[in-house]
Amino acid sequence: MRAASLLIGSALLTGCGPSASAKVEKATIALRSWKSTLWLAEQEEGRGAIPAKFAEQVRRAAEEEQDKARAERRKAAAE
Amino acid sequence: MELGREVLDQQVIDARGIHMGKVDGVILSLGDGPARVSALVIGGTTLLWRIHAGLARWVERRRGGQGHVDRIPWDQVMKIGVDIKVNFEAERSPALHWERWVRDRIIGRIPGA
Amino acid sequence: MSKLLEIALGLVTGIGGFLEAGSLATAAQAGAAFGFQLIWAIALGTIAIAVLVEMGGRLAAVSQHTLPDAMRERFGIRFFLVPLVAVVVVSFLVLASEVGGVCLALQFTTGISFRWWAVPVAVALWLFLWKGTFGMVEKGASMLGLVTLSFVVGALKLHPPLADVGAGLVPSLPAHDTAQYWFMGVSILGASVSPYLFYFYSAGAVEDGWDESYLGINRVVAGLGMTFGGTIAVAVVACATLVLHSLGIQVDRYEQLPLLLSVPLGLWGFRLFAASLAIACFGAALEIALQLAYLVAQGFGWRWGENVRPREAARFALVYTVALPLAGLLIVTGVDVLKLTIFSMALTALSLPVTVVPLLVLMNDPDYLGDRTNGWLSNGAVLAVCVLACVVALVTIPLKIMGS
Repeated sequence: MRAASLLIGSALLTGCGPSASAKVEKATIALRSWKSTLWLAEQEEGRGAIPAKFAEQVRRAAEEEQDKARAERRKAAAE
Repeated sequence: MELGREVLDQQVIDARGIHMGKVDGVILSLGDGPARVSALVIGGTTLLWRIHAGLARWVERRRGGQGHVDRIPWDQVMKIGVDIKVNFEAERSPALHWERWVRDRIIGRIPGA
Repeated sequence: MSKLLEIALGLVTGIGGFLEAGSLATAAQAGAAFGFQLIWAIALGTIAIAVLVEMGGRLAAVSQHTLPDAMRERFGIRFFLVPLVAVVVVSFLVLASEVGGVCLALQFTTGISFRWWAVPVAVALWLFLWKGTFGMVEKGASMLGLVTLSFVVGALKLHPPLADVGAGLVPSLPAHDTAQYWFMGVSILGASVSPYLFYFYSAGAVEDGWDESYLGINRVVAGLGMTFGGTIAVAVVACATLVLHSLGIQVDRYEQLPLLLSVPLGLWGFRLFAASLAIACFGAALEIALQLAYLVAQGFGWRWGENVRPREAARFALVYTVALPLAGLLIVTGVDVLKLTIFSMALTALSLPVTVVPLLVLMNDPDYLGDRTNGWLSNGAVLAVCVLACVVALVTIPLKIMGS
């Protein structure tokens, strides 16, 4: 238990979390990943590999995640 | 016999093979000669005493007693091996009070039980 | 039943029952982020669980005690409470993830949000346990679980470069994102070495009436069953690598996962994915709920058994009757199922020493195992994996929490 708190404590002290630029990079990677996901989903829907109902769910998920990533990026850029 | 290893926390089974519970406690009688086991205890706050005495005391104060405790006299104990077999039928035993209560008040009321 | 048939059934159970929300999500995330690099974690986890499952079976067959039974008796109540609480908490979170998995599979096929499915699914699971027998749960759910072999078919269709797959069996350092790499590795370990698997297996050995004559079967079933099951997880990594990693897609939502099979197998791939997710998670949920009930009931000496009517083992039935709706409730709140899944896997890894060490102690106790106690190799190997998993989890979990 004490070892655990020591480890956690030191981890917190050494970094205090990722830097602002790391957060920006993370958000950018997420945005790119979702852009590719949308592209792939479109391809799949086009050739009938996924039903339209599901493709719609992918688009909705992509929108939510992209909004989250953009908000993260804005917050980190402001730091 | 090593009480801690062979008696305490062992499964108790009645004459009909029904699981009664684990031995939560042991009552020793002290007199001349070595201490003898006079009874096994199942149920109530017995187990709680071994976990946290303060909590057990608080619960007993609130409930006004030790709860539904079954003290099984040592002469009713038939066999100590993989489990402890006792020489009576547990149907009415206080050790199974909560089992009966859950059965009658909750599980038994759900269709298909 | 002939011993050969028993082996066949046991193998089916191992293969069909291996993949569930945790192993699927962690394997897909790892493949998407690091390609084949984390396959060693699956291999290591699979070996560890095979060894642990064999131990659980041996304990039950030789001592005629299940693991929770023996744990309370051997360690007394105060020491028993620690693994009890740990396994209950972790199992509950995993149970919720499995329920979430079934609900998401239903959402993918019907378009109706997974939150609406939570209550019906929890009720369906409960009904299965209420009315079903142990055989139905163990064998039925696992046989249907063979549908997860679709991942193997999908992976083969994608023509994975076998040299790279093989290279992944050897641990290597990542080119980037070291913390993320190790966090994923540890989550994979938690997904593979799930305590519920060996607790459930040991209860099953007693329910099925195994004795010392079954030790050979036990070894075959545990070893081969888990190995074949692990190959399915490797197939998921392969699909994720070739479909997602190649496009720079990282897995952040379950919605991205059906693509793993739709790309190689078309619309049938999509359907097979939904079926695999639904069935694998449903089966796992049944086993976890049952295992929770076994753990609590056997630990406290209550009547237990899936083959008796609920009113004959009322408190045992109460455990799963309470656990399932609670798990369903958690999903209704709309929690992020993927995050819940990954997090509960990491937590499983963290709790491994607490849940595994009692088993190891028992396996070396001649009072329980007679002359069938463990060799030093199995002890050492399992202990090493658990300590490794725990230490890595201790370091990476806080980092992960801070990073998000």
